[in-house]
Amino acid sequence: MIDGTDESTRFISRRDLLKLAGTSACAACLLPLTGCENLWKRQPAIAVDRWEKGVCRFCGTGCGVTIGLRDNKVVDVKGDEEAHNRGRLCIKGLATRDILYSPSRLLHPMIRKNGDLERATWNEAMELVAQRFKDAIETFGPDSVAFYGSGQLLTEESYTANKLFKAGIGTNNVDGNPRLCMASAVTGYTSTFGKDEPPGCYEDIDSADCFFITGSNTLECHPIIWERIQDRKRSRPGATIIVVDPRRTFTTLHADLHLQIIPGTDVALYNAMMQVFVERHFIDRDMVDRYLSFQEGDRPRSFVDFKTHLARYSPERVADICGVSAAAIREAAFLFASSKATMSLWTMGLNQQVQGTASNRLVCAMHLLTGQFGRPGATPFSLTGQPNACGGVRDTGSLAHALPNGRVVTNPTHRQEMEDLWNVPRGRLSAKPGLHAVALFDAMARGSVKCCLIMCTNPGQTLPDLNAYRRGMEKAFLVVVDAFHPTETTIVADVVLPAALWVEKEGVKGNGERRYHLSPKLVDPPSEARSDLEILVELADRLGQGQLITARTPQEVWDEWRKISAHSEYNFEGITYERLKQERGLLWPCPSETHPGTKRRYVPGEDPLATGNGRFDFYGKPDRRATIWLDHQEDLPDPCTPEFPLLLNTGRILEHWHTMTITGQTPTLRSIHPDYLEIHPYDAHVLTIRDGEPVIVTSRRGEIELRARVTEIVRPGTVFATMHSARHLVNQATQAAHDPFSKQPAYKRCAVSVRRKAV
Amino acid sequence: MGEQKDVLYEHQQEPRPASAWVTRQLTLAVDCAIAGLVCVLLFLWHGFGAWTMGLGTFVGIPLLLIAMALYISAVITDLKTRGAL
Amino acid sequence: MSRLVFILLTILMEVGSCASSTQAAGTGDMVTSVAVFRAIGIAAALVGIALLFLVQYVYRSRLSHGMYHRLLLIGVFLLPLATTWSTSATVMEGTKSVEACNSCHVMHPFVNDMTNPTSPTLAARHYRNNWIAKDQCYACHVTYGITGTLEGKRDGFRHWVHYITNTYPDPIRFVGSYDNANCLACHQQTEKWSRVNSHRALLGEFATDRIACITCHGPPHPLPKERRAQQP
Repeated sequence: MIDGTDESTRFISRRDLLKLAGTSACAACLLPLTGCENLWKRQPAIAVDRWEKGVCRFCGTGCGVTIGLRDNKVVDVKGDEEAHNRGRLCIKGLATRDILYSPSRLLHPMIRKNGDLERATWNEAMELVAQRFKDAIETFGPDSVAFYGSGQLLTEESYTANKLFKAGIGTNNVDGNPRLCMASAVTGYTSTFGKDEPPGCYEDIDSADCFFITGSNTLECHPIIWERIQDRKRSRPGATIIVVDPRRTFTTLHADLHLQIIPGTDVALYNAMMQVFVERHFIDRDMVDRYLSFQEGDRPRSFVDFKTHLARYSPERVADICGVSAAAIREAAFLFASSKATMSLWTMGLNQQVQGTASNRLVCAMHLLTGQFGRPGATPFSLTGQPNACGGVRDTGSLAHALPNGRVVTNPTHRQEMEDLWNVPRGRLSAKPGLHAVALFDAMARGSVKCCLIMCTNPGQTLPDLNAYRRGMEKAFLVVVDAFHPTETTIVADVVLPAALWVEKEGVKGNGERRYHLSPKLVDPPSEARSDLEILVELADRLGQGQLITARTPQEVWDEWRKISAHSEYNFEGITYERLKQERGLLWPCPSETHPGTKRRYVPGEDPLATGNGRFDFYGKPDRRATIWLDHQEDLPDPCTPEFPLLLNTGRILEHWHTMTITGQTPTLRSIHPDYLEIHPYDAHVLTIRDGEPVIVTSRRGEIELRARVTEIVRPGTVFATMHSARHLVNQATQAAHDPFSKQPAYKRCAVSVRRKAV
Repeated sequence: MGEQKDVLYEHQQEPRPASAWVTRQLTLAVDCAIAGLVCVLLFLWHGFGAWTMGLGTFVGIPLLLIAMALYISAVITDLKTRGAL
Repeated sequence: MSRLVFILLTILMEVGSCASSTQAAGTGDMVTSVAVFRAIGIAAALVGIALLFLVQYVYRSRLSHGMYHRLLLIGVFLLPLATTWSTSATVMEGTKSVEACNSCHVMHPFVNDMTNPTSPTLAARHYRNNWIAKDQCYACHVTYGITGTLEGKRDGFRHWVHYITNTYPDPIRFVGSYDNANCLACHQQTEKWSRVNSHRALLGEFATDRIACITCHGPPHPLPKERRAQQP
């Protein structure tokens, strides 16, 4: 700057500085366009335009999800941090981001012509369906048609179908797949408390000190609930986990005590545990004196009778029946009764038995007798398999024996109440219980049921003793509404209608803890698919029942339904769509729009329906006392014989759900195959079966081929197969024998023989 | 470098004062270095904290780098002026 | 002249020993590398400031041209170089520590939860079971390898910018997809990991981070509503 040479020797010229600054500014602005946003911050692996809250499509845990959309397509799914699952999702929940775009989505209606399913228009298909239903009703009466629904339908859909068939057509032939999975829990709760649905909630897990998990592989089948149990154990290592399961599942690996009982011996075990309660003075006398009654069959019993009854079930005697040591039974009973708060969790292992109802109510009885009830962490709690079996089917009474909100068709007062609420003439509702699932398909085979509308379920794979009931499906005029094709049911249908799936339709779901939450509509259904509600409304119109089905949108149906609930102990009138859009669901009873929902039922002060100042008010029972049942361990059908020496147990794995129509198509899960038979090394040795060999499993009803997996997970004398695969239908072997009260089939136990497949 | 300069001086037999530009650069370098060292010292003495770390790392260090750059630039300019480069 | 050099050397030694002893007091008898770097930095900076101030503003006129240039070499080049190096080392090493993360109040709920012996979060379990021995925040938040270090520093810088400009969201959230490689680096070799069918089937999804380990096994830290509840 002093002389001419300075300019050239300057470290950096002003012009260069300006250039540099300009270039840097441009680079910073263009950064997002170059794909180098990483230079400023970490980027998501999946780009998303917007996030919306929703509910997982799969199991009854009912996890909250946030759904990522891009260009009006679902591209990502995450756990909702605000929901009860605290942002967690299992692998099936994560897979929901792919399910809408499965190659096996059904896109247009199909009608069977000359033996083959052919594409048809909606008008053609609906006209045919309406005509066949009308013909059957006119010629053979209302009981010649039926509805077979699902715990996956939305509440509005199940409610509308129930109303259409029971109050419109006039038949109680309304049943569904919850009969195969939840029915024993329903009868268990209603026989004990007078009302269905669990008294506790998921939050109880956070306070429990002892978990009594029986008949549930929680780790694999309800992974998010399992994580919550694990969280409790992690923060309080002294908390104990007792698992009762015939298999050494992943769940049992984390247990403090595993009772590996022989399948079907639950009743003996629970009676023995209660015998220990009596023997060691763990009985809560206040409960017995003020809040409990005892019953055996139709006859009332006393506490003294009950103790006499239990005397036959000393742990030492029961040890032989159950195949576990008396010491283990005593220890389990001690841990159960002595803990500050014990929570029982169970699911299909208890429900899918011939003594399913008895098992359910005995577990409830164990809680009532020891006073492990109605406090945070102390509750019996049945886990649910489907996302809306509780809310959609159990609460709406969409079962053959039931009417909405815990009413039953055989009770004239209940019928009259519903006739008034539905605004139909007195006497419109049939007093005759409809056909439950197995009986329904049996009636189809015998020809007394001519037409059946099946929605959102796959009985062609899930019914027990399939070979017998498939004939019924082939014989009847079968209308199947499903989002997927082919399934084992659509392939035998006469009309197949394409349904909207998950976020392609709006509606309320009720999960395992009485929580109603809203599953929003975020994208349009593909091609010609329609929501099940639209299909039901159109069918109602075509059957001349349009004046009955006045609510035609999900919100209209929900408003009608929640107002009806106000006339019952299920009262959830306060759960409006507006609230559901804001909140992550609400637990009923919830009688007003300002009520926060109810965590623990039957507890005065917590439950708005419980009255008085006592510890409990079991308002579901006329004497306001819960009932303890005196149930005996019975001889079970389909016993082992030298010809069929092994017991077949069926179940599920973490990665798949039900019949795999959804999970079997997702890119992430389809590579995981569930086609194997677990067999104990001892049995494998006797039968000269090696690991990985193809084997034939034969029962008294049918046979299936599977690959042997020699493992100590199963007890000697038992084998295990999953119910998932359509390639090997395990239900060709299972038995149709069912619980006398709940009519739920005993999928968990049948006698089989296993042999190596001849090469 | 100091050695080089000494050799340079010996060769020319008569030390010439640096140009005004070099002096200015050196003065600036010294000020930058003092400011930078103060910033860094504050951070090191105080320990991690949003402001002290920012001061030390994002103000102090760049100042020190500028000081060092200016110093090198001044030396090179000086050597060039003297025809040593 | 020799008196000046002597005084400076004395200051250097005094400050060095003083700084390292204050550091050692905090961490027992063990002197960490960060403490050494820091002591060197403090000493060099103090000496540098003193030297430059004396040379430029006090003794300038009394110093010979050669001596002035020699002292400038030390004061403007060598000592700043040493300070820069030791400060960088302090920052690079020191920011790895849990204390450095916890120096920002936004991080208190996370560190409190991690050190809570009854917390069920992933972070707390890794901490209390000593699955990660030291620098627990850094171990899981910086991907292995050189890019990981760069990403870590990038995130640190961004956090700092948001913090001092008060532009961070409340509650704070993890940005982008979490890198599964951090989990898999330890877990993938275990039998417990590989016996789960879906782990093996989903390897491709884990590699691209399209499915995060923490979706099923999280949450790693308390959720926003839980953090709110903890705050007084």
